[in-house]
Amino acid sequence: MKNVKYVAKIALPLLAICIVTVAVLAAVNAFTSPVIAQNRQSELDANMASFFGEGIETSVVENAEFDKSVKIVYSVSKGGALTGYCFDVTGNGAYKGKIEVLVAIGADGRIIGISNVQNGETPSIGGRVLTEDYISENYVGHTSAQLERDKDVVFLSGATKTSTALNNAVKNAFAAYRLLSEGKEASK
Amino acid sequence: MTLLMNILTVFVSVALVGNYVFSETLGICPFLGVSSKPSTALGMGLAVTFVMTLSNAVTFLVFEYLLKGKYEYLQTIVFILIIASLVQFIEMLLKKMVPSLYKSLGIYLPLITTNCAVLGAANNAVGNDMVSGDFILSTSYGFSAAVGFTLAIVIFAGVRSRMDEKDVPESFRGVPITLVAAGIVAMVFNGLLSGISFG
Amino acid sequence: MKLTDVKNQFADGLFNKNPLFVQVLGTCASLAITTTVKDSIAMGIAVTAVLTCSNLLISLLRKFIPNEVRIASYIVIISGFVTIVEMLMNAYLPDLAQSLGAFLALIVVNCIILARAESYASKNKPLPSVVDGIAMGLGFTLALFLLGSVRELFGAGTFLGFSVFGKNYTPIGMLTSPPGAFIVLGCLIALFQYFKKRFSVKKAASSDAKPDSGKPQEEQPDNASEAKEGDAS
Repeated sequence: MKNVKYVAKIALPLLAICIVTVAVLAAVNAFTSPVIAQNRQSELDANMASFFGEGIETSVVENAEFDKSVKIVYSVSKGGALTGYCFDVTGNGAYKGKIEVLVAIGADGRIIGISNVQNGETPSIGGRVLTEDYISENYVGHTSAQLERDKDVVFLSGATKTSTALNNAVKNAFAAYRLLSEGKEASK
Repeated sequence: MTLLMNILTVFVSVALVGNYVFSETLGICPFLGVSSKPSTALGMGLAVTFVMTLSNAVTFLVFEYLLKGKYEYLQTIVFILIIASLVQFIEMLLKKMVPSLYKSLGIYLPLITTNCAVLGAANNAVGNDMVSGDFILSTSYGFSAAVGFTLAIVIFAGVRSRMDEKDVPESFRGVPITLVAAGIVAMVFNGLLSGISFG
Repeated sequence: MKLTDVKNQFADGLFNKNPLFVQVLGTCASLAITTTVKDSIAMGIAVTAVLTCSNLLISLLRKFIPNEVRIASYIVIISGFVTIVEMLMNAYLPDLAQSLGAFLALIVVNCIILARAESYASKNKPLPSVVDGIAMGLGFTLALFLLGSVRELFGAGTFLGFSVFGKNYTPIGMLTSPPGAFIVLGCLIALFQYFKKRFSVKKAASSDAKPDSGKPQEEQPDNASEAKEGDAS
């Protein structure tokens, strides 16, 4: 009997602290998660608008054959005609750097733009990679064939981790794109 | 066959190329404090490997079947409690079965709980494309990260055992010279592996 | 009486017992995060917030928490605050949350917080515990700031994102990588130990020690990587 009382005496305060903590966290979560979801949505809308312009309809495309690195695929149409796709993809870097970006590819197979979704797990100076100049110089307007040939994509010194990661992310986006366009050809 | 290839890929990219100490800078506190005896370092590494492998296995299960979806915000608190319990368990185990190791590790044993590498590996496995959602891969991830950590501290214990404090300027004695030496070892380690790229 | 205590606490947190440079705690985050000054300050503030809140709560509950479960209780409380900071940052400062990345969650295993809970907050009243939290947090932020400044300034040629040296400067990329982090931290600690020795005589009049040694310390690190001879003026 004494033993149980002793265990209860030391365990109950800990249990109480756990319960209160979880309750507080649940409360904070309740009012922050809608804000977070809203942020994501407006970021996405802003990115879509900058890639494809106004007046677009987007819908999520599901495909069991997509690689794990492809998080979400949006098909974008304007006035009923397919304008292109937007891929939320990740890419692994030379060491362990991972990057998640939105890659917009037009119906002509050319990259329209790339934007930041999240800059990798461990912070690095790689944030510099995603400057307008770097992307427009090396990626915008290119097709996947051109990227294969152009092995001259200059990796920023000190940011090799993220540059390789970006390149791989773009490759993954194109792989998914190929899947979709081949599927379309087949169904024609 | 593919599973084996995947496990191997995970191992090389976490234990070697993306080594937790030299590349991700996790697990530094015990790394700095570990003795200059490679044997003690190895003992520490083994204890950490045991904890990290188990921790990745358990946290994976808890995340996948309990937390995913609605309760993800509890990840930090649940994971750290799991780790704290595992370390407590290891302490008792070592005390009974290998008391000599228990004694030589001293305070560093309970400090495994606050070793960023342990929580780091558990969190990273959840967020990693390749291993998340797969029990075997997630557990191998924890194991590999721990092996990399062990490799780092054993190598470094060897380096430290050769450093003589009397040769070092006064301001640098103790932690500073250890850090500078660690930086040089890190450069060599990363440099040797620079040819390998996994993407 | 009270004011001198507070001054002493700040002298300890910022200088005598600086969590990073003297106690060598919180090293993991400091090596990874300090590639830019902005991230360094952000991390410093996040840690200070968690540290102060947890110190306060633990001090308030110190008579309620039984000795046998104290570490577990501290961990629950600390991880609670870390999760709150995570959620608030993700909602209201998402860019900052992204730069801190995985290391935001890792604040829970930042040894500084557990160490202060165990050695101070559990044995002192709430108000001094809050001051301790702020003092130690500020000391940590200062250390991160110095580390980040050296690494960003010489490793990337920028400060807070603004180019400082112009196009002709070739950055020493190594400084922004992990090995560079080890080396810069080692040198800064050596520098700090050197100054601590020179100025430790002034501890008696502790309110003087802080502003006096604060200044040369802030100027020196800019020269540290160039003149490694480690000599002060």
